[in-house]
Amino acid sequence: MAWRLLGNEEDARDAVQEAFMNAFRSIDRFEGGSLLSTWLHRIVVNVSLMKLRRRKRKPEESLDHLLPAFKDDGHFVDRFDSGSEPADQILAREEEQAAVRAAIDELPDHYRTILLLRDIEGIGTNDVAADLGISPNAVKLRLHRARQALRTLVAPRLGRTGG
Amino acid sequence: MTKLTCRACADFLAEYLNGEMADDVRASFETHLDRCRNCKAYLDQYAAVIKAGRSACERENQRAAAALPEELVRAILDTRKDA
Repeated sequence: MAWRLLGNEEDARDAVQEAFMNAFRSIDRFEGGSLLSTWLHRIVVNVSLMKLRRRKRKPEESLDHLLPAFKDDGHFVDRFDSGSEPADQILAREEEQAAVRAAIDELPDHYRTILLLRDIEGIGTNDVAADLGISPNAVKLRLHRARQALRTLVAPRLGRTGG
Repeated sequence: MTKLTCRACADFLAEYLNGEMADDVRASFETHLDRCRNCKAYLDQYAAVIKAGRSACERENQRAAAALPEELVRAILDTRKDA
C-alpha cells in the first residue's frame, strides 16, 4: 500500500521503516483489539500521508484522455453495452484483479492517491481533504475522474463491453 | 421533471451511488437509466471498478499481512512494552 500511495520504492521503504519505528515507540497504545498487522497497516497509511503532505506540489497531470467523450448532443461517443457476463463478475477473477491493480498504478499521482484513500482505505472525504490540504469538492471531483479513468483502463478486460 | 443527457448522468454517478441526490434529480436520473442502455452499462462498469479496486487491493494487503510473521513482530514489539 505504501508503494501504491507514494509511487516509488524508495519512499515506500522509508515509510514502512518509519511506520515500524512509530509502532515500536507507541506499542503501549496498541490495545490488541485488532490484528497487529491491521494496526501496522494504519500506521503505514498515516506515515505515507505525512510524506505526501511534505512533498512539493507537482502540477496536476491531465487525465482527460481517459475520461469519456461526448457528442454535441450530450450522448456518449462510445458504446458500453454489456456482454452476457456482468462487469463485476469478470473483474472479480484473480487474473483480472491483478490487471485492476496494474491499472490503479497507471493513474497519475493526484488521482491514484485519492482513489486509494477514499475507495480502498475508506477514509472520509473531509479527512482526505484535510490530510492533503485540498477542498472536499476537489477530493470528490478527483475521485470521480479517477474511477472513470480506471474504468477506461480496465475496459479492454471486459471483452466487447469496453467502449 | 428535468430531462438529463448522458453527459449529465456521467457527472452524477458518484452522487447517485452514494445516495446523495435530491429526490427530483434522482427521479430524472433513474428515468434516463431506464431508457438508456448505454448509460446503464456505463454505471454498471463504473460501480464494478470501485468494487474491483477495493477487493484487488484488499487481497494484496491480506497477502502482505500474511507474509508478515505476526508472532515475530508481536515479540519484537513486546520487548518495548516490557522495557
